[in-house]
Amino acid sequence: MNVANLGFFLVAGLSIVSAGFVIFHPNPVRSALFLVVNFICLAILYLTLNAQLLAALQVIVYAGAIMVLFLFVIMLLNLGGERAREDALAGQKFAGGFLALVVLGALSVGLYQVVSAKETRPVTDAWRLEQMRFQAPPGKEGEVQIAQIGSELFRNYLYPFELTSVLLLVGLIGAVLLAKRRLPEQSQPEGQRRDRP
Amino acid sequence: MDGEEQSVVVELIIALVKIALVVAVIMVLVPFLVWGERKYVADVQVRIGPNRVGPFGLLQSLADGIKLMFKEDILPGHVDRVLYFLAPIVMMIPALCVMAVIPFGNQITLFGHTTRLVVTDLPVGILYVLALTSLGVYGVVLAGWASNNKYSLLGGLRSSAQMVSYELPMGLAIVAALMISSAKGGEMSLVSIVEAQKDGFWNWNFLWWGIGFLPFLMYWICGIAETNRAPFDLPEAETELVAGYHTEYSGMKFALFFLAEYANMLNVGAIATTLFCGGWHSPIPIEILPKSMGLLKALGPVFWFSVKVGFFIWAYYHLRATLPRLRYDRLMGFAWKGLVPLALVNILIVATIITLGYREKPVPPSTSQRPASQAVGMAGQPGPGGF
Repeated sequence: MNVANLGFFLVAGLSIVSAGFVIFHPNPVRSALFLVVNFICLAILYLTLNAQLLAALQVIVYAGAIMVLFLFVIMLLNLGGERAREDALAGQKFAGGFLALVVLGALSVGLYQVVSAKETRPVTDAWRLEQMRFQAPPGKEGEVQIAQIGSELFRNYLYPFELTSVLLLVGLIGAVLLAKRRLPEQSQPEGQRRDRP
Repeated sequence: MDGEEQSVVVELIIALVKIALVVAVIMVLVPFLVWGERKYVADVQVRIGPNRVGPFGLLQSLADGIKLMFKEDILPGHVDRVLYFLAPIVMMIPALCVMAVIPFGNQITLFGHTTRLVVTDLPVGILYVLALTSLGVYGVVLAGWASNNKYSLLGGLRSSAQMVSYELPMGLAIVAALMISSAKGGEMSLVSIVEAQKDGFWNWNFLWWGIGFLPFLMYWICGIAETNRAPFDLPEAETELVAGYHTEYSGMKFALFFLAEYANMLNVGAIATTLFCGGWHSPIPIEILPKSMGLLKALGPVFWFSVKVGFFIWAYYHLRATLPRLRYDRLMGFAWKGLVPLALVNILIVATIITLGYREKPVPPSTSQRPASQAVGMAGQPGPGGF
């Protein structure tokens, strides 16, 4: 086992352990912090795969923005104390276990397909990524370039990209609608009240 | 030891020396920055300021540092111990790590080895900076929560909302800067961004087409908010929150928060210099020193870089001395309703100018004739749709 492999197993092990703590730690703040540790481990794994852009984005978006908001909400609602774990729904444990098995099965099927299809069916995303790597300019081999990812996104994957942004917009509007205060018009007398969603 | 191994060892030694140099300079500089701030603010307020310890009170901060080091390290009984210890460390590490990608000078040759005056020049340099600054907020949040004290908690809450809000316009301002830089042939690494701004101050990014000052100002405003400095110092507003998130901290732990704050100020100043003000380049490209004065000549860029960062530090002091603290709702409204739309419009304008054909350097004709699949690989040149 060489040094790179050892590093991989260390970081991967740490990420699994921290993921376990996210679920099993009784304190919500600690759970959220273990999730941050997990994200950083994933970023390091991306780095070992020479995907520097992905690693940076992982830290900026997940660890830096989303988890800070999670912590913000936990602190704002004062959920800091330890809670007894109790099931909100009957049969929650079995349903959870079953769903976890389904996800595991789907992931292994996907992984098997990618690994076995690499030789026989060359036009897959993994193959495309590999092609991009071969086109890297001299002196920068092995790095997936930022410009490459950008032009792939805006040429070959434009529709999924734009659809994702529309999805985010829908989520944003939904959140605003749910969170907005009642407008003063609604407290006016019955006759003047306008219907609002 | 054969030649290749030897060169690896030499590279390692050079890297370690550079790291040690950067960390040492920050650590030595911070006490003087604190002293400078106290003196400057005192001057503005027609006071004298520190003048007891050493000439002009220069050693005041050093004395304060020694005091903090030997003070009793109080551990309040109601804190969350692990996170209470972790918070100052989490605050300090990103502040120091950001320095690793900032180029503070051009190439230098010492003892026959040529090296760039930057610890490491990452291809995704500016994203690395953004990633680390976004991690810095955890120090404040953890300190606020672990202290188990309502003033600290309020400080932590304020800072998490504030820093996340201002990160967004800051990122958008940086996007505009990167677009400007890519039109001049720069990439995402900070060294290439600086090199794209050579030959005189009229080539610096903040003067680009009369619109570069907009992302520059936005970055500067967001930088002040990110470092929790006046007029955006709500997380530690003394008049309302005792000392905000570090109310319960004393001794060396408090000193670490202080150090991290000033290191972050230096970071913001250095990145503003790198992205918008030509980095280490002198304002007027005239060779004053003859070629024979090699080392002195190599230190010229370091001088210009320091002068520019010094200007930003002065601006920090001056803003603190002259502006009152913002009200909290105004602060958030300013980020979301003012800066974010402005930054988006600014990106649109910059993109329009670039798309309409502005190029600092003419693109070699071969790039445009290449099939798209090959042009993608030419990250070094400003091809269509890539920076």
